[in-house]
Amino acid sequence: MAQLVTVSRDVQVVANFVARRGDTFYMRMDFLKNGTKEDLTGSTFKMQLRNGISVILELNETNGKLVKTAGRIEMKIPAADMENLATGTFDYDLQQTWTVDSSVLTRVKGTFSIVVDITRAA
Amino acid sequence: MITIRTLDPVDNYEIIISSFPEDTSGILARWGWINGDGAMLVEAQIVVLQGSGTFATGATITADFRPGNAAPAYLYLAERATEPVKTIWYGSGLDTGTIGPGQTFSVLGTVAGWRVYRSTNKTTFSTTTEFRTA
Repeated sequence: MAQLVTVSRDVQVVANFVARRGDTFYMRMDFLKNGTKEDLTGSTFKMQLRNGISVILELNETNGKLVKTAGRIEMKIPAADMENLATGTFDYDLQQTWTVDSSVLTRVKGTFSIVVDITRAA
Repeated sequence: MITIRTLDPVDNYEIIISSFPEDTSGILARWGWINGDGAMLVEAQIVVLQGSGTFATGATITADFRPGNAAPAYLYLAERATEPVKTIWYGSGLDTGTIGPGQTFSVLGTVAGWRVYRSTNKTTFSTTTEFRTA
């Protein structure tokens, strides 16, 4: 008798972030394969924060908010950008796209919560 | 209905997440000696290893096992897993070699963001021991 099987290829790493509005946001991810730095060359990374279907912020290697070095991804959102974001909980994921064949793999997903700040510029 | 989550049966992937920029001027390494069964360490054992020091990222780590190494013991070195793996150990010009399976030192594995090296056998050193990338 035929058996229905669901094979999931969804990303297995879930990381939820909490940041304070107006604070500089920094997060570093080191990717290891078998105990040594994973080779991330030949690929680019992109991360979007979405409120429903709307992109409220994108981090990529072009706008400088996402920096890739050997085996490492650093996310840097300046305080001025964080100041303009609404408070709430949003969805994000981090995608890796290989140049050679344009294949895409989501490496990390989760929620990105922005909490209200007390001390503000104005 | 059956749900199967695919796993890579060959490679082990890890992602280490930190919210603080790395201080590349001083990366912590720990070392020590244990007269036990040579098992892989857990994080609680790593943080109480007898010796420690800070080194520039990618730099040679100089460990000193001598204070507690009068009798042969398993010698351990733990460095941040994000550091380039060390491939050479050096005691002196005549006491040096590569790091790997079957050699004087080899990599036991990684745990909690640490890469752990161990002497293959219980041994002693009369000099400091350098762990180098080349």
